[in-house]
Formats: sequence, structure tokens, C-alpha cells
Amino acid sequence: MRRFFRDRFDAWLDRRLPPVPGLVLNHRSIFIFPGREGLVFAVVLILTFVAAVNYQNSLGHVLAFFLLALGHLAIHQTYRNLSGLSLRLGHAQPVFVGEAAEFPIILESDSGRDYRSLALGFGGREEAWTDVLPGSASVLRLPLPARRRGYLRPERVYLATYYPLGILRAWSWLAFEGYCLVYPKPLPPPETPGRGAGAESTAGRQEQLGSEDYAGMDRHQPGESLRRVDWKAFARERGMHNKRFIEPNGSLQELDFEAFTGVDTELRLSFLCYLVLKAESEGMRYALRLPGEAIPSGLGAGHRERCLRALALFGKEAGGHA
Amino acid sequence: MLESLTRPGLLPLLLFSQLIVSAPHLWRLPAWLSGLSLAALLWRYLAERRRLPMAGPWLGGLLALLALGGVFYEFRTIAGREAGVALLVLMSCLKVLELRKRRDAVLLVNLGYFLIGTNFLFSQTMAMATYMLAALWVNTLSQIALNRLDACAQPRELARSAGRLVLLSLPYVLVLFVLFPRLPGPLWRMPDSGGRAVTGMSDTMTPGDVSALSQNDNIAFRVRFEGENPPRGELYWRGLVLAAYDGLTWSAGYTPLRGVPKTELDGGETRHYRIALEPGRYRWLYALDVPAEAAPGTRLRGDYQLLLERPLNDRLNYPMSSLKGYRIGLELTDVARLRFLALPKGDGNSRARIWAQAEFAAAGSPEGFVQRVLRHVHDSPFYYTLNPPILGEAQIDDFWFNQRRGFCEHYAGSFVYLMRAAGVPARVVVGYQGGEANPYGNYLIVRQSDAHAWTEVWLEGQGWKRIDPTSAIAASRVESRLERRFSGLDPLFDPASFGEAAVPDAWADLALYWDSLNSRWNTWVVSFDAERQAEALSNLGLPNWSGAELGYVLAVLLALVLAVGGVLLLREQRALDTIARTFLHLERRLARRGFVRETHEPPAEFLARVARARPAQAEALVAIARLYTTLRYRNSSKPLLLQRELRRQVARLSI
Repeated sequence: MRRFFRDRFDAWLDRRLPPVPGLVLNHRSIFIFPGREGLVFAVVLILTFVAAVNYQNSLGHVLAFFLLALGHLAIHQTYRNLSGLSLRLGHAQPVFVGEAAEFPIILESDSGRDYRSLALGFGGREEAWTDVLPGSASVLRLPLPARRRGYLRPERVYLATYYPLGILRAWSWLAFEGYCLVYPKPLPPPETPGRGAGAESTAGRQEQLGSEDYAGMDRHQPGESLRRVDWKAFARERGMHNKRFIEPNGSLQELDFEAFTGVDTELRLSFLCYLVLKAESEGMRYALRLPGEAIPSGLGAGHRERCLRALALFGKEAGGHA
Repeated sequence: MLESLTRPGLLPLLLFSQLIVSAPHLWRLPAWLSGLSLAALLWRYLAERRRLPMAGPWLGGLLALLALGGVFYEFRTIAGREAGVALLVLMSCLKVLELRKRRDAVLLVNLGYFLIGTNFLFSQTMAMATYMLAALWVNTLSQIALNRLDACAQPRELARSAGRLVLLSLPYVLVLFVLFPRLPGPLWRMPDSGGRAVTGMSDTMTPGDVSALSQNDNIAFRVRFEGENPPRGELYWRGLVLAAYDGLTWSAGYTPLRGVPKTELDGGETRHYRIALEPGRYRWLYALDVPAEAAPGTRLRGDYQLLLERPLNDRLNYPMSSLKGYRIGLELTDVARLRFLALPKGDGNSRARIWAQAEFAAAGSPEGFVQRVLRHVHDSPFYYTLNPPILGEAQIDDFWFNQRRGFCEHYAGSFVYLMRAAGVPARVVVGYQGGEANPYGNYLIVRQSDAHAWTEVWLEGQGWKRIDPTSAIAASRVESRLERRFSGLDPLFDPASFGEAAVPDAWADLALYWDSLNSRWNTWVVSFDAERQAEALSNLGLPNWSGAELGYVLAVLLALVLAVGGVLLLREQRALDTIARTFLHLERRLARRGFVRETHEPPAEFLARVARARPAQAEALVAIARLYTTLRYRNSSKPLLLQRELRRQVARLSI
């Protein structure tokens, strides 16, 4: 029964407040209702009034009227403490499965007013608090556990305020367009890393990338370390090239999805993820081959991200909103 | 909700606010109970400063029990107004000892509002109202701080937002005060308080009673006459009639439940006026000598006393009328004659009795006797003093022949004694004499210090005649401290000064002005009831709405206020939407040229990026960015103008 109503409410909410990249709060998106402390306040108001009538006390009446006025003003003031507030979802840094994705919510005063004591969180929780002052944006990072690889879409963001008196709650449920990229959880493959089934050293080419012996030039890829750039050649306007060195222990690694036979897809992706990270930290060039996609060998942050992204989205629909 | 109470300054503020709202109560409570409350506040403060540990629950419970016992010990009850409020104050002060969570703070703040209200049960003066307005502000302030992330870190802004809330609510309060239907009477009877000290007149007269009041400048009541004020010499405010004397004290004695003969009231010319009594506990009412009708809730007795049927515990405001010239009690029954001639047996005042009889014989008639005694008072060294010597066993003899120094009750009591000793029926009347005219308010102020005792003597064919023996004292023998009052403003000792208002000095003038404010306050605020409400409505030119109609009007007004607030917010929203639309239009145009705004890119940064790529339009783009920022993020005084300017510049941009 409760579930039925909650589903109905969610459906209604989806129609009323569809996912957007950002929005300015207005009467369509703000709800307001007295909270538990409002009840306490109302009891005090009624007691004061009854006492004033019973003792025919004029200033007692004045106090009761004052409390009524406060309650009435609080409706307006609490509503105002959300209305005209602009929120948008910032770029969420990719995470690995098992970590918590952090969605940055950027809050700005669109009306030029101060906004006080705003609570934000997923799933109706008041996880983070902030003030928003005109002229500067506040960023709150809301954590959401990343359970599966791929695109993690944020849940509806709950935004609430009780300011100024705590007797009323104004709130909203905001759906943001956007995502956080979730990479597979890195897991070491059972065989010795580096010589395992997935990481085959390229036959015939015994050279390993290192910084010991110069072995020629490669075209510089954006994102690669600048330490290996041949600056002299660059200065002679021959283009940007990396000096290639041969490292005695190093080898070019070919990371292949098909190499792990008899292993579940997700686990294979986890192994590959681990190997990508390992190769990157060891400074070895690596290439990644997935069914339907092959990433030529490379090294550096850009290459790493390209590989991890391919792992994260493997078998998922291409999409997501740039 | 914000749970923590460790936010900057929050706890000290909560304690301060508790102190402010309970201070008037603590002033009133027995010192040791106030001390207990203050100690609790101080303890919690020191615990916050880490100078003391938090009080454990057992200590809190023990103190609560102690407070409960203390209230019972001091008030002999824990119900009733005084005891109940005392208990509430103590408990809320002790509550701070276990102030840890938001829940406790919420309870404290809400109790604070209620405590402010209970103060009004004891005092409704302008000063108290002003103080309580400040207390409301402080309490609202701590409620806001409780809901602020930074609590009291920005005290000015906090104070301002609380002040704004209080000020905004004042118009509401004003409208509600005038229009809210006043419900009649108590909803239920509260247990009687008892134990409250009452200043004012007692129902008996012992030497020293009235003179004690003469030091008391508190206002007894205010009177507003329809038309001219009566001459000062006629301002005798009749209270009680005292007929029985036991050698020390005059009291009412046995009074038969007889009403005033209708014939005495008929046809006489009357004065109409309204008396506003200060709050107190009353068993009888006052009226100008002599009342022509019974005040509400009273019976007009045969001796023209207005005895209340039930004691009243409040401020009273009643219309009255009095007879201008009167002849009362023309017929005196034998029983009554005996009552008004009765003297205590063996009281030792034999000298006075003999003197009275001798004087009566010399005078030959009751009228002549009265004149002879008054002449005697005037010519002999009788003094009018606030500090009369203590009288011996035979009070009348000692006063009349030895001391000759006294206050009005000595003169009135002795005079009645002498009359009775000579066979002339007489009685003591206590009440007030005089009244200060306030030029700022066209009303008279009667103070406790105007308390007075005079006499009535029954004369054949004339009935009861008022004789004030005190006024016979020679002005030169009025003690200097009293002289100022009595020679300048009071006609008692110099009838020639009737009607001559003394020229008030600046200070007295200010005092009168202040009192007129108080009087207006009392009339229009403190005793604002259904009757006053009808008067106020007609003064404002509004129809005489009934309670239900008033309710509807109020409901409509409140809804209207909400609606107006809503419309203002919507207008603001619409303006923001206009700006957003303009910017969206610009974004679409730029997108066609290949400049797409990233989701995380603020508008101003985006425009700056475009400006770098298109230096030719840089100036225009920067101008647009500046306008946009001003409109969105700063409170502009001319938003509409700037909006139009933004639209114009976006339209003109060629890219």
C-alpha cells in the first residue's frame, strides 16, 4: 500500500520535476509544510491564547497575536529561503565500483538574496549543510555508493530548509541530468601479474619501455608525461616526439579480454582494470583489446582514462550526456 | 535539522535568552528560589566553558524536587497562578542543566514565549510591555540562531533578521488586536491565588492605616467626567462607611441589608463619569459622594456604599453617576440611631465624653456643637502630621487633650466619638479626597496618597451631612512635607483656592504627560474588551461587526497578506525567468557559431571564453556578462531597466 503511494508520488514527481542539468527553484518545485517543531510552536500559541482569554489579559492577547504573526511570516520567509535558488550538477569525478561517487551540486543565489541553512542529500537524508550568498557559488559533494560499473545516475536530490524559525520545512526533490562514470573494481588476476594470461609480453620485441637506454622516437600523445618529450627536436620545429627508452625489466603489455578464458565478464573487466592501473603505475606502455574495441598501446593519464572508460562502458549502451 | 548545540555562541545565547524571559519572574520570586534558578543558568554556562562538569541526571532530579518543595513551602500550593508560574520558571531554568540536544533547546525557546506571556499576568504596564518586546526579540533571535548553520557567528546579521521578523509582525499584531473578536469572560475559573499583597485601603480604620497610604504615590484610579470636572472641594470619593468602634479600630459593624430609598435618588441632578480602577483585589467600589446608582456587580446600600457581590481580582472600568446636591437618610430608625450612637463601654475616654457633653450644652444645638468642635480644632494647637506619636490606652483622650498631632483618621475618629458622646449620630467614611487634573487627558488622577477619612453627622431635617474635621486644622500647622501637597493642590485646608489650578513646573508637567500616556495605554490596550473594540471600530469608521464577522474579515486579511507575499515572489521569479530566457537565446545563437557552454561552466566564464576567441566582440560580450551578473547575483535597485538593457545588448550583438 505504502509502496503503491510512493510509486505514484515518484511518477507524479517525474512529471512535475523532470531531470534537468540545472534549475532555479520556484513555486512549481517548492513544497512547504509545518514540521514537528511547528506543532510545538502551535501548542504554545494555543496555550498562550487560551490563557489570555481566560484571564482576560490584553497583553496576553498581544503575545498570542505576535506568535500567530511569526507563524504566518515564517511561511513566507521559509519559502523565500528556497525560491530563486539556482542549482546545477557539476562534473563528477569517475570512481571505481565499491567507492562512493561524489556528485557536486553547485548552488548559487539567483535572486541576489542570502540563503541560509540549506540541507542537501540523496534519498531524503540531510547529508550536507550550506549557506549560499550572492556572488559566490557553494559546492556540496553528495556521496552515492557506486555498486555497478558504467554510468551512475544521481538519485533525486532532496533539498530542505527550516530557516528561520524551524517550525516549517520547505523542500524540493530535484532530478539532475548527469552521471558519474564508474570503473570496474580493480582485482588482481590469479596468475602472476605481468606474465599472466591477460598480459602477454609481445613476442619478438624484447624491448621494455624505460628510461635507461634510448631506443628511438614516438609521436607524443596528449596526456603523456612531458618528461620524455624530445624538447630539442620540438625546438627545431620537428614536432613533438617522445624519446623512447628501453628498460631492462620492462615490456610492452597487450591487455586482452579474450585471454581470460572461463572467467565471467565482470571479473575479466576487473582484472583488466587492475592491470591497466598496474601498468600505468609502473610506467609500462600498454594496449587494451576488448571485443569490438581495440585501444593501441600508450601511456599516461589520457590513455589510462580511455582504457578505463572502455572497461566501464563495455557492453553498456553508449550514451550519457556530455 | 541542525542538531548540534556546539555551534558558535549558540549555548550562551540560549542561556541569555532564558535569563531575559525569566528575569521579571525571578525578581518577584522568593530570593532563594531565584538564586537556585540563577545558579542553574550559571552552572550550565560554566560547563559550556569547561570550568565545571555537566550536572548529572540525579542532581537535576534532586534540584527539581527541591524546587517543587520550595514552591509548595512558599506558596502552600503548587496550583494557582503564582505558584504555577513560579514552578514553570524554576523548571525551565533547571532544564538548562540538561540542555544538550536540539530537542531541549526547542523546548526552552518555546517555553520562553510562554514565560513572556505569564509575565503579563502580573504586570501590564507600558514599561513591562516594552521590556517584553525586547525579550521577544531576544527569544526570536535564539530561535533563529538555532536554525542557522553559523549560529551566532555573525551577530549583527542575526540581530537584524530577528529584528526584521519582530518588526514585520507588529502590523499583524495591530490589526489582529483591533479586529480579533474578544471572547467574553473566563473559560473556566482558575484556583484563587491568595498570598498576593494588596495595596490600598483596608476595610477597617486604625490610627496609622490611612497615613501609611499617604506615603504611597501609586495611582488608585482615574476618573473621566462627562463635561466639567466638579469643584475640587466636592471631590470626596466615597468608599466604606464605618460605624462600629472598639476603642482602637473603626469597622463596618453590623450593617442591615437595606437599600437606598428610591425617593432619595429621584429627581436629583446627576454627574456622569467613568472610573478606571488600577488592578488590585476589590470588595467595594468607589464613587463620588454620593452615588446615584449601583455599579455593575454591586448593590447600592442604604449608607451609599457600593459593595461588590463577589470580590474582584482585576482592573475595573465602570461607568457611574452621582447626585450633585443631596439629602440622604432623612429618616433614622431607632435601631440605626442606636448603632450610630454606640460607644465602647469602659474605654477610658471619660474626659472626652465629659468635654463633649459640656460643649454640646454650651452650643445648644447639634449644628452649633459641630461648629464649636471645628472651631476648637482650628484654634487649638492641633497639628496635621504623617508621623503621629503613639497614643496611650485611652486613644481619644490622649489625642484630643495631650498629643494633638495626627492624620485624618485621628481627626475623623475623634470627631465621631465626640459627636456620639454628646448624642449626635455620626459615622466615619473612608475613601479618597481630591484628584489631580491632567490637562493632557482631561481626567483626574486619584492616588493612594489621596486616601482620606471624614465623617458624616446626622442632623434632624437635614439627614446625613458630610463634615471633614481635618480641614479645620489651621494651614500653618500642616507639616511641611504635606504642605506642598495640601496647600498647592488640595483644597482641604484653604477653601479659597478652589478652582485655582497651581502652575505646574516642568517636571510635574512631564509627570502629568506621562500619566496621560499611561491612562490611554490602560484604556486602549490593557482594558481593551468587546465594548472598547466596538468603540475603536466606530472611531475608525468601520461597521460594528459581530464576532463572527470579525473572524471572516480577519481570515480574508490574513489570506490577502499571504497572497500579496506570493505575488511579490512570483514577480521576482518572472523577472529571473526573463533574464534566463534572454541568456538562453544568446546561448543558442553562440552555439550556432560553435560556442557551446559546458554544464559546469558559469555563464560569465563562458562569455569570457567566447570573448577570447572573438576579440572583435569582446567588449560587447564583457558588457553583457557584467549586466547578467549584476542582474542575477546582486540586488539591483532598477531590475526592470537593467533587464531591458540586457535584452537590447544581446539583440545588438553581431557574432
